[in-house]
Amino acid sequence: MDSRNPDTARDEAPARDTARRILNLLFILNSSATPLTTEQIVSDSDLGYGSANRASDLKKFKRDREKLAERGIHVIEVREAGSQLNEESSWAIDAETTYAAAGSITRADAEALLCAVDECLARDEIPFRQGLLGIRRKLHRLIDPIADADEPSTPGDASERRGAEALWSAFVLKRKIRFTYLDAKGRESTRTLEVWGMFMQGGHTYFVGLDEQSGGVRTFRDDRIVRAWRPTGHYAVPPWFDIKSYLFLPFDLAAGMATPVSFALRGDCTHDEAEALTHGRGDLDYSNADSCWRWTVKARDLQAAAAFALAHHDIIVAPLSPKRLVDTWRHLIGKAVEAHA
Amino acid sequence: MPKSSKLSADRMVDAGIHLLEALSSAPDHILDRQEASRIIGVAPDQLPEVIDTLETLADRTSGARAVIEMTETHVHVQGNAALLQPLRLSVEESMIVEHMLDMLHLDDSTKARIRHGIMGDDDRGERGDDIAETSRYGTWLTRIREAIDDGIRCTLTYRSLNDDAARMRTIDPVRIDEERGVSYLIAWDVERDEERRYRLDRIRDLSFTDDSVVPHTVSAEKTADCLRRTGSVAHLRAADESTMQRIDWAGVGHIAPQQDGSYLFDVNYSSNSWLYDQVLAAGGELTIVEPAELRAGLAPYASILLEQPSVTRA
Repeated sequence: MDSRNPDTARDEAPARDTARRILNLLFILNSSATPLTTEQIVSDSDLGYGSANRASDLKKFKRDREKLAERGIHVIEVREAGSQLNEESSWAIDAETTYAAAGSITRADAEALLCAVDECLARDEIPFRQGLLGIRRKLHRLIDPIADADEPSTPGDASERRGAEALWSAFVLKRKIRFTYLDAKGRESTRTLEVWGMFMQGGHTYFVGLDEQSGGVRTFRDDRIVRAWRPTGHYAVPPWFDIKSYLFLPFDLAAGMATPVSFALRGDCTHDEAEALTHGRGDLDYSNADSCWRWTVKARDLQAAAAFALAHHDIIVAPLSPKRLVDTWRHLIGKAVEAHA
Repeated sequence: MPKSSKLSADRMVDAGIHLLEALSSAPDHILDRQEASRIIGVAPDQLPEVIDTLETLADRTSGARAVIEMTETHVHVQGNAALLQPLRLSVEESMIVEHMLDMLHLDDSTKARIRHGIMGDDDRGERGDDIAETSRYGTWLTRIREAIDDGIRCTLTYRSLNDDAARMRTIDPVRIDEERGVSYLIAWDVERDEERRYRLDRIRDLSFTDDSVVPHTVSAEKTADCLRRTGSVAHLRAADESTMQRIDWAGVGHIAPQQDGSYLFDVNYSSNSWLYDQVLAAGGELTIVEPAELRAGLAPYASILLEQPSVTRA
């Protein structure tokens, strides 16, 4: 996949200048003992502002603060007590929201997180590897500032993850992204997506969001993303959207209405076992009368639901309802026995 | 080797901040050059571009300058002007950690400490629902890692496929493996004196003993190899290609397409009841060919399923 679109090639010099200006803003605020005024900043041509157009420089300064904020570095306006509203603003790095609070997390807390970070880094399907490495470095810096943090090696082929990494970056920034996609039937199409969430299942990463081409919410698999362009255009994720409802089960993959189905799970099934089986979908209630768990979930494909119950019989004792599900389950058993007669 | 492309503005800013952070925390503020490239996620031939950019950073009012030196082998920052205090997590990092807090089943006070201590300011108010995944770690990941790191022998309560109920085992934990979306503890079963694999999401309880582990040589084998070594083998027939494609079992061995469109294949497996469940789920599209006694055991097994009280009531 081409990770560098033609726009980048043309904009190399301005890109360097932009990067330098943002890093310089960080540098001077970080090294300054006192807040800097707006005038000190936007009139400084060495810093990267100081053009003939002050309004433009103020806009650049605002965008640069936003870029730093995306990276966790918060530049805030500082006003002294008693200052007038029309007095010029001063700016400083907000220490409380930017710098980690020393001593606020225990070594055990950091090690618990590091454990999960390292497990994630060993997985092929993760599109946020750099983010994990950043977390790792920061945690090590808090718990063991003297020692080097040995970075784990990256499994698999990095080129295979670029599409997923591009969609992940767009998701973090909440920017629409255009990409080419190969569906399960091998058909290629170009999509523009607002990524509302992502989930990992069965060794793949899936991106879910509003697809401009279809006008609906669609799911896209990481290894089918062919190429992606630089993201543009902001959006907000609707508050009603729940990514967990997209963790799919085999009986979801059919057209038609979804029917509530119920299964009995072993009475000694733990929460972890149930969660791994059900993906947190549906409702799970314990029945004292039957000494078992009752799992109710919606299914689009009753045959697939019956097959799922049989394949996971070590946890799913039996289907409960509707009668069609139970009959389908019996039918599958009967056909299998008949085939061995 | 082809030259790497120039870094975009966003990547340069990321790389610059990461390099300043890494140099700030490195012993004597020196990093190996290869390691520096790896840490900041750039190709080795892109590192000079990052350092060139950082070396232009200066405050003409105070006279402070970022002084970063690069030799053939190392990168070194001089002075304090460019050093950064430990930063909170960025927006991206906070999203990832929020997801991990959800997966790790940490208690509320630990989550609160982590959020207060290192997570970034999220004025979007969107937390916790951005990323999801199928549960894989169970409740004991942190304790297991502690036991592995410190060499602690443990007792483990676990129900395998062949067990009617969970039972306790004494184990020496060795490592955690990930395979096909499932996380496993690789450990030595002390009583059985053998290597074993345990799904993390099926571990019911784990306790530390007062003993240390005895070092064992465990294999790097995956589930398929483990089944081949310790399991039984059966010969099955899949009725057609679509049935064969739906089979994603780790123990599948040699597959032989047949002239009638069916497929004969071998499978290594550890539990008769598991294999019977898969065959029943296929509703006649999958049949056991050999061994004969295994094939003959399917019908009695199916009868027991059909006679279960919750099913007979339905």
